[in-house]
Amino acid sequence: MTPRFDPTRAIIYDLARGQLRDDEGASRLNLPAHLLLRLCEHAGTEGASEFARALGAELGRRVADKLGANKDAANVEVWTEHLGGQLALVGLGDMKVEQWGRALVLRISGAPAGMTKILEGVIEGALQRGLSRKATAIGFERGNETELLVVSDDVATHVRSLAQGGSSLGQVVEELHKGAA
Amino acid sequence: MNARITKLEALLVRVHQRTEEPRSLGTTAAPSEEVATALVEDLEEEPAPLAEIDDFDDVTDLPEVEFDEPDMPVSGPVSAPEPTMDDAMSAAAYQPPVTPPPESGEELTRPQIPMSSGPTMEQLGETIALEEGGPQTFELDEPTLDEPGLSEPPTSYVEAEIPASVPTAHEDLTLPENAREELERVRLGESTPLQARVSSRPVLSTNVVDLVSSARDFAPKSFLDLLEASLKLK
Repeated sequence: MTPRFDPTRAIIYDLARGQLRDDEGASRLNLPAHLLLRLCEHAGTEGASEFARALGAELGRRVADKLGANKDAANVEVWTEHLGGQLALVGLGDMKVEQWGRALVLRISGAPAGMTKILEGVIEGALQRGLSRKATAIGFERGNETELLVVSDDVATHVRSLAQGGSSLGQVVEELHKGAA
Repeated sequence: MNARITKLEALLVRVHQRTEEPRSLGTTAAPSEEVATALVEDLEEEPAPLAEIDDFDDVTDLPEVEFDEPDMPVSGPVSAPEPTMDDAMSAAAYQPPVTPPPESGEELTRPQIPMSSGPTMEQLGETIALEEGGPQTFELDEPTLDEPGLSEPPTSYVEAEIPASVPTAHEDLTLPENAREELERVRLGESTPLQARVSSRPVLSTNVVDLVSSARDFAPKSFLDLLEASLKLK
């Protein structure tokens, strides 16, 4: 039976010792989001992406550990519940999974502003660690939401050029389906 | 029948002759009684031969005359029959007295007509009271179009024929550039030339419609299936 996501005691504040720990006993830090963004800016694009992928890999590992042998067969709802739960625990917003034809789109709302690049790396790391699939997530900002289109590395450059050219997510997905047809 | 008529005419002549004779006071009803008696006697002496009656094709069986109850009124919604010989006899029997001259000083006396006390038991016969029936359901057949008058709808003077060629909108017509803004301005009730800012969803192309259709066709069994399908997009 697939376990439900349980956030009970996921983060433990030990005020006497001045420590934050998760349910696995690992140490945590509670930092302001804008300071983390400033640090990522100073780290550069590659450094920030490496940081984000590492964070995502940690989240993906936790999901895979929870689902166990069912992780590959788990349906969309289960992954939405568990991966979205892990993102929410670290304050990266509310995640919904959307299917646009054959395209996988993760819609994240409520994340701190300016986190699109971080979110891209986090999703890429989570999918690689959780499902052993190397993927590229390309963000499209829409108001206070971020839509992340998950594609292969081969078409990532083409998709980024389309996005930079002003194409919307729908137009990009339509273009991708023309090529797949 | 002709013989009866002849006799009746002779009888009426006799009645007129008698009425012209001087009469004594207090005997106003006597001539009528005598005439009736004489008429009945004449009829009994020489009844009409049936053979003569049968000779007429348009005459059916005549009802038998009952002289015992001549004053019985005939009831029922029937039309007044043609005066027959029996009617004439009855009228003669109950002919009112002739009005005396005014100089005689005699007052007009009304004939004594027996009051009807309603139908007799013989006439009514045995009366059976019928009970009221219960509610009945009637099934009406639907009119078929084959029936005359139903195939064509009723027409009236207020109806007008629809012209055969109805102008239709052409698909190649394009909306004016400010049509949407103008429509929104009218919808909002703005009478001033202010331009309403309209935020509308981008128009989807037909390919997107096909995309929705393909989304229905593709139903991944797992999240991994959806991920792999997305990674296969070129």
